[in-house]
Amino acid sequence: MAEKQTHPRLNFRYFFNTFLICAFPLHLWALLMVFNDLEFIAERTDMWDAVGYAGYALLFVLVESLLLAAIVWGASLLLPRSWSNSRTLLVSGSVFIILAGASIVDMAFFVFPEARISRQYFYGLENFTTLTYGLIFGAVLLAAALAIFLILRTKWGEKAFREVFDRMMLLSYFYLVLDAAGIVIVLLRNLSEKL
Amino acid sequence: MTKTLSRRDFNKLLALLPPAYFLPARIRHVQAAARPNIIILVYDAWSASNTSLYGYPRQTMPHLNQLAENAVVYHNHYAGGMFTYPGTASLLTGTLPWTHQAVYYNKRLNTFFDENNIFSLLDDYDRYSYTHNTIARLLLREMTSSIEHYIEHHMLYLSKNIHTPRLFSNDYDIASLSWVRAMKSVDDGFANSAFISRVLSALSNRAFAQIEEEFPLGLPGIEGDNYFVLEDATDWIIDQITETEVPMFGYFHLLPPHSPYNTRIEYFNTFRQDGYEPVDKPNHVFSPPESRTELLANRRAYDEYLLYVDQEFHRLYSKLERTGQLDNTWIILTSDHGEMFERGIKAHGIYALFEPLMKVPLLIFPPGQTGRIDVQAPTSAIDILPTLMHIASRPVPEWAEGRLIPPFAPNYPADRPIFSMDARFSPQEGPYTDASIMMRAGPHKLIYSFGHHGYYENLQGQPLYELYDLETDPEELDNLADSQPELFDALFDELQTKLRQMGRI
Repeated sequence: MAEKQTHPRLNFRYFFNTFLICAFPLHLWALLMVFNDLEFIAERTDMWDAVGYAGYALLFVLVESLLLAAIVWGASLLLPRSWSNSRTLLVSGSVFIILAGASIVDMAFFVFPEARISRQYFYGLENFTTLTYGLIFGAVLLAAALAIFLILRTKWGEKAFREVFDRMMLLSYFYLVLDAAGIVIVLLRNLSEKL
Repeated sequence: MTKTLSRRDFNKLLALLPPAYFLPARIRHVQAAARPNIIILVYDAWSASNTSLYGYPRQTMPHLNQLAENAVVYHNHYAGGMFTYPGTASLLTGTLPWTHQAVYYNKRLNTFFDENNIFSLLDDYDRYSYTHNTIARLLLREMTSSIEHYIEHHMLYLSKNIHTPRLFSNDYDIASLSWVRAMKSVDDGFANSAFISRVLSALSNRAFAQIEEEFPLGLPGIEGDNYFVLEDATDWIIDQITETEVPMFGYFHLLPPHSPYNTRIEYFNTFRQDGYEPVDKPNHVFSPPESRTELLANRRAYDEYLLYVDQEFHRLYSKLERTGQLDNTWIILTSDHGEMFERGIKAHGIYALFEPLMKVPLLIFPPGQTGRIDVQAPTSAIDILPTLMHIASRPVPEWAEGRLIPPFAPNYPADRPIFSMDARFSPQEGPYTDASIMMRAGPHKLIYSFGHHGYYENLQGQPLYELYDLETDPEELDNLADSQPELFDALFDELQTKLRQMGRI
């Protein structure tokens, strides 16, 4: 009787690596935004509230990273089994990074007040947003296709992506430490009145 | 002398028993009818200067013009502060910011007022409170021990945020703020979450797509996509008033016409190219400054938003009139502060205490009132609490700083000074370090500003004195501080004396 083979990506190590890759851009952006808000909150309430705000932000981004890692991991199960786990991670992870990058760049545009567009002023100019989002979509598709091509067809491309991913995963460990601190802060704030 | 009860007398008394069974309830009902409901309805950031009832050239509130024919209309009513936190605290405590100390979000209301406030004084009323405004909520939350029906702000939002309060009930404010910043990207265009915020926004947009068609500038909302429509709040208030069986006191603080000025489609563009040109005033030292184009666009959007507020108040009033509730209900209609679109300053974040920002509408609708009474004497938000005590036949507490106002006070001194202030950067107790203090005395208004933080930095260490004669110069264009030194000295002395009395210099 033939032994039933499990899918090579159905293991915790692979999922955890996917999670580390997904966590990197999400945490980077969330932390930038949190630092952007900290002074505002500390000024209006106090430093402990500002720390609490950061704690919740870390908790939320941890949950978001887990959810998206699950989706990316699920999608990677559809990729050819013949690919090594390492190569699959490079392909699925790079597509995710590009999508995250596009989303972050789009949001970053609004962070700067002078770049914000008055909804009232542009009310009715539908083509403006259609054209903008069309261009972004095209650029994202092109970047993803290029990344996949470089990973699958060139040795130096695969190596370069692997080295970048290794560094990102290392940084994500640092973010996980921050997440743990965030959870402690949230627990302290919620239990303190009851204690 | 003892008289025995005959069988006939006993039967007579027996006949009285069935009605006597119902007597306690009847007595209760009669007592209830004798004590009318009292409703304070606050529309946030509502300036008297933009209200047609007070002479604004645009017909921003045509219904109110008519409804005022059965009301007491106050023409010179001043907010206690220049934004929600101090302004609302003055309404609820009957004291000015130098006493209630709620001068900024990071400065808590004086704890004395947790148990001594407008709600605690009306303890035999069924007390309700609701606000869309998360800042006003901070104050109401401190008073919940005196409010039987404290309704959370999100309960009248289109999407009720019920999970954050449940999960983080001990730390709701910060958890909620973090959630909003993480997940709600609609107004700002960005959020802390790079992906899930987009999914939630898309879902929320789908859910509200039909209602959104009614609001061309977007749905009214607060803090991202916490959307609401004013109709829901109006209907809810009507339900509370019509369904209550005992006298109720309600404090309902609704966000419109506070920004974003997202009016309904039927009012959108009403004042577009109507030829109205407000007086062009020079930029103030505290102004960022905003361009005149920006100010005019925002003023028009605000004025069109007022039409929506007007329609909703009219609907509420008409419904209560039809159901007969108005015969047994006092309505006090007012605001927590004004709004301004002049001198390079937009909305109400900046502490320039000019009339559009400080003068707010006040109308009192007594039950069964026919005819209009106009009160020209200056009054203050802190007077509402003592006036309410008069309406409810209660003594005015000693700690209240306001007083009974006309027409309920026949000997009201028309030259009584009215104060208001911004003191966000000053300590909660002791002398002010940074402040802008307004004193209205008779026709004159003195504004004294000093400090080093925020926009006070623009003063470069020098105090700013502004003195206006509101009778001859209602637009506050001619600063008399230098040209009328005797008048200035007399008024400044009076202001200094008051500040000294309050321990603020």
